[in-house]
Amino acid sequence: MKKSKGDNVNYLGILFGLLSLVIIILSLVFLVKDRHIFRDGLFPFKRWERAQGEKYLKKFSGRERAEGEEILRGLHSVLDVKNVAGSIEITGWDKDYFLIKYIKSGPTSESIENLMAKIETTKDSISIKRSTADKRLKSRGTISFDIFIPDTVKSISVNSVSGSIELSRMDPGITQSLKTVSGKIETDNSGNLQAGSTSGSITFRFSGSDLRVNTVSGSIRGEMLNMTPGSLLDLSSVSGSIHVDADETLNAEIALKSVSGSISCDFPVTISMKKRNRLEGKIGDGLIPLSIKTTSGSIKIRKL
Amino acid sequence: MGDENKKESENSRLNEARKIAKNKVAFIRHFITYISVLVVLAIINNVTSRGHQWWLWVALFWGIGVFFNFMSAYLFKGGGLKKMEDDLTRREMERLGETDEKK
Repeated sequence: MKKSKGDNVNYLGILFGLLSLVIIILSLVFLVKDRHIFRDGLFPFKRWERAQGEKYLKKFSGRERAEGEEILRGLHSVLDVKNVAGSIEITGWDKDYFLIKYIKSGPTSESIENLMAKIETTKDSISIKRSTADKRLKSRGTISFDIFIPDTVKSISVNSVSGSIELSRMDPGITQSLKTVSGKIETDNSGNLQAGSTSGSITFRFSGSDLRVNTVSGSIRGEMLNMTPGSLLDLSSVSGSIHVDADETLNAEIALKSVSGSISCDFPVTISMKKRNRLEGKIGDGLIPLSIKTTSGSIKIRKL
Repeated sequence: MGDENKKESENSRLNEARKIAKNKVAFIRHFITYISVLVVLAIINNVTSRGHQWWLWVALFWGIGVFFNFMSAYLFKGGGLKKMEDDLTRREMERLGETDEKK
């Protein structure tokens, strides 16, 4: 049978119908990706899950778990934590000893027995690592750490693969190096800070002289306080937005670049170069180099 | 009498066919308008500010409307509820005829 015009209209209509479905799905995906509330893992479900705590996790995931804690005394000034899977929370407190709590979680009781929190101390430092008792066994399971530290600590280094890193009640002078692959990083106070995450967001308050923060797909939010000449500030992301608040004394030579996002700055800038996706200039006397780069996110610098 | 019935049913089929064709053409027109407006909005969005892509909200919600239009023009072209009503009427007529015969 010969094809008529009517058949063509039918095919065209079906094609258009399917196209409209594809557009709906794509716009939904892009909109969800664009919302920080989703990107930062703050779905109402997740919040509820967190509130229910470990009880919920055990009930619904069928995982075994075991808890442990250790107290360490001494004037240690360096804390080094290495983990593979599981969250790490470090909290400053007014006591003069370290309290290290951990929760091991795994699919079987054997996997939990095999999993260890290895704690080593030297005169100056404490090192906490996830380890396995029998290396031949395939290590399955996670360890979450909840660490309380006294004010003797001056430097914290945390490395994780899958899990969030949260530091709270920190003294402003503590040097921090925080790295994870898939989890968010939060620190409520830091001295010199190096933070990197592949797929999580980073939130910080910085009052040191060396700030280097980078993400691949997470957003960066931060506050920068009391910066002195000689500081170095470098923030970069691939697909995340970067929003920083700074106090009014900011004296920076800024280089802002966003390939497809917007750039805005609340401070008066003496512009040396302005293009569609680039802004360079000086805020105040321009004593501190401040570089912010992102490929597809927006850049905002606001006054505190 | 038979000719009249035949003519009536032919007319009703013609009307039905016209309605379906009209719906299909209306859908194609709707889709073309949808795409054209989206392109304009996307250009305005990206020329004025390249940050938040607000035109995607329009694409999403209007797209849902366009998809429903497609469903009604192509998938439920005879009018799903109308067909159901006709079937029910026919069945009820047959049932009433059966009870009359029994009486």
